[in-house]
Amino acid sequence: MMRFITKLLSNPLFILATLGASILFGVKFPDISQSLDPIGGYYISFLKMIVLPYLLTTITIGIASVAADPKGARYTWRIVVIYPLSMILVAALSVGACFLLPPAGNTSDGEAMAALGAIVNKESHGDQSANRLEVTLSKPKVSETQIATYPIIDRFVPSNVFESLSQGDSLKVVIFCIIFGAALARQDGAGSFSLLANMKIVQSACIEVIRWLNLLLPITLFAMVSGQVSKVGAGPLLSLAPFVTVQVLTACVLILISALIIARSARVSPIDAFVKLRETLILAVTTRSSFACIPVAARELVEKLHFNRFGTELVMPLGTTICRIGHVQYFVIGTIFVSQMYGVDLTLAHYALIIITSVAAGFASSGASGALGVVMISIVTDALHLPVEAAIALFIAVDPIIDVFRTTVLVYGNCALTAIMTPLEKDPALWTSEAPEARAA
Amino acid sequence: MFNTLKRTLTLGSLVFFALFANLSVAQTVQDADALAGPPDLLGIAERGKLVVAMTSFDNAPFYSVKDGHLEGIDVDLSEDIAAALGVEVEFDRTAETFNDVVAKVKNGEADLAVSKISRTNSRALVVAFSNPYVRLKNALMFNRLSLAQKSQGKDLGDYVREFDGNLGVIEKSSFANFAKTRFPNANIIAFKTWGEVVDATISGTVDAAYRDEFEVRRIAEDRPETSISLRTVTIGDARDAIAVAVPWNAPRLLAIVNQVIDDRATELNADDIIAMYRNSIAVEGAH
Repeated sequence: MMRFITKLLSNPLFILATLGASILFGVKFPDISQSLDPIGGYYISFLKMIVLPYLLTTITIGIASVAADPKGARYTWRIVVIYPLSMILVAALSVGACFLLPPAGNTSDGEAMAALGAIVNKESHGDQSANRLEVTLSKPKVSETQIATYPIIDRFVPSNVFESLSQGDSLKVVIFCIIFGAALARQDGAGSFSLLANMKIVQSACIEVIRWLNLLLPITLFAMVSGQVSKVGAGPLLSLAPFVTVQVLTACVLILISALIIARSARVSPIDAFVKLRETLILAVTTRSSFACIPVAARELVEKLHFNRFGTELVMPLGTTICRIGHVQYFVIGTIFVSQMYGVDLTLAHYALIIITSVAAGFASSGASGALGVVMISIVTDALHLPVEAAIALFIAVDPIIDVFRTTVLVYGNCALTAIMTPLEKDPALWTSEAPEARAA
Repeated sequence: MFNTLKRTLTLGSLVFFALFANLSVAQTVQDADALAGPPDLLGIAERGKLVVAMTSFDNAPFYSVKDGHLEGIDVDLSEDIAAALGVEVEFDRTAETFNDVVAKVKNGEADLAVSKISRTNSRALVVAFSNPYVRLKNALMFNRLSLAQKSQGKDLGDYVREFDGNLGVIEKSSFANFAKTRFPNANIIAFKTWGEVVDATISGTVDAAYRDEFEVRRIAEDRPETSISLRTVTIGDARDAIAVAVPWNAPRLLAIVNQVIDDRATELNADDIIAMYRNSIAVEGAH
């Protein structure tokens, strides 16, 4: 009986059916769906709970192994070259998409603009940011001198790793792990080896917990998807149809390219590139948390597509944290939308600036999910001196839909990048994410 | 019930109610006769009505005609004042501008002006003002694009304090005067109507428009598309006082107006007024 339930719960057809049912339920009964939404929130919280220790051990182990292994240096080079390059390519492709389909649509249409204005009024109702701000004519009496900082660089410099851990600031945690892992590799003696061995056991325990949580996915999936669907109003979606279309189509193209890359690297059919990573894809769509997808993606890449475990567990977590292609795409199209909405003509230099700053904003957005990630677009628009507060209110209104695609591009795209950087594992005995020590015993 | 009682008590009496509230009706009437009433109230008492001047155009939610009758904040206040005097209220809506409304009081053509009048120094030279019954913060409405391009990431507070762009105002309005003292570096451009100021801000001819918080926020209610191109910045420490204009030589009338205003427990702010405005628009739309 238990085995039957387990099998049913992980059956892709069952999950697809649940997905369909939950979308219908969300449309039909938005009120009940809204009240189910917290269940999904608890599930994501549980996943995040285990991902941080997973990340801490996995990246530290990965970096320590790379630093100790003479052949490991090639990963360093691949990461340094491929991550920035892929983000620039994604940005360029998104610019191209905007040339084909202007994301702001017809801005001279008064009715369409009135509909957009109404969304801004509604979204910013009662808050100060988008529509209203209060200043004083007399100078504020603040005398405290603040040291000028660079907001983007701030996000990369961890001052207290325990604070970063307790706040779930994954970018700073990853940076700490890289430094700490490199230092660990330089320690002689059996002590450092046994510390690494212990970390591997912690890591495999984390993977076990994630496996359990995955069994609960179909149950929570219903709550998450129907809740999400009920949050999107048809009005904002229609008013912002051109923007949503460009974002979704570009995401689909990127997902397709990623599938082809994975299929080629793993020597499977393009269909299998989706099917074998289905748990990752479903998790990305339902949780919209790239962070929560990392362990499942790494496991599926190793167990089902047979990529080298060592490489996968280094590249996949690192890439999902740093190489934010989903956000880069979002920022580029969003910024071009803003410029078109305000009738600002962009020159070639402007496009170059959009591409560069979107990549930088992508770096800065790591660890910021949902609406917080959307707000990071101001890094790009500020560089171009474009007004963004009204646009952010619009973006947030349709984000429940776009977030799904942004997360999927980020996670699935990083599966493709992992596939490029990691060799296939020839030894079938290593097609597993169990701890090697556990097997040896 | 209480209102009726009050009206009965003060009927025929010109002496204000509060001083004599503890006396019997007969005594009140007798005392009033003895005093013969303050001269500034006699005219009103003889006419049996209080003439209140308002602009000829509606100004919801302060005063507007709905379903054939006039209503709003200013209408309620005028009726309360008339009730305190024990007379009927009559609205004179022939004045074309706010300055004309004030002129009517100055020339003795109206007893009061209750017409969302801003208390200004130049008006205070010719009429007396009551205590404010509404206070509205000043507000700037920026063209978002020019704000982003000119402020260049500077702190918005600093940018507003040192504002040196083109500032649109209504000509000869109270804000045309405030603008000169509050934004000395700005290039002030005056327009005939508020509509022209708004259009100039949308097109970018001026970088910002200057008026009170209610009028500025009303734009977003009336024309939602402007929320994309315009951004409101309220100024916390510059207020506009809306008050009743009273003839300079009517101290008793002024005292009664102030007393009516003071006795109202609620003080309206811009949020309340916007909510009332939204209501009045919604009801109008339904008809």
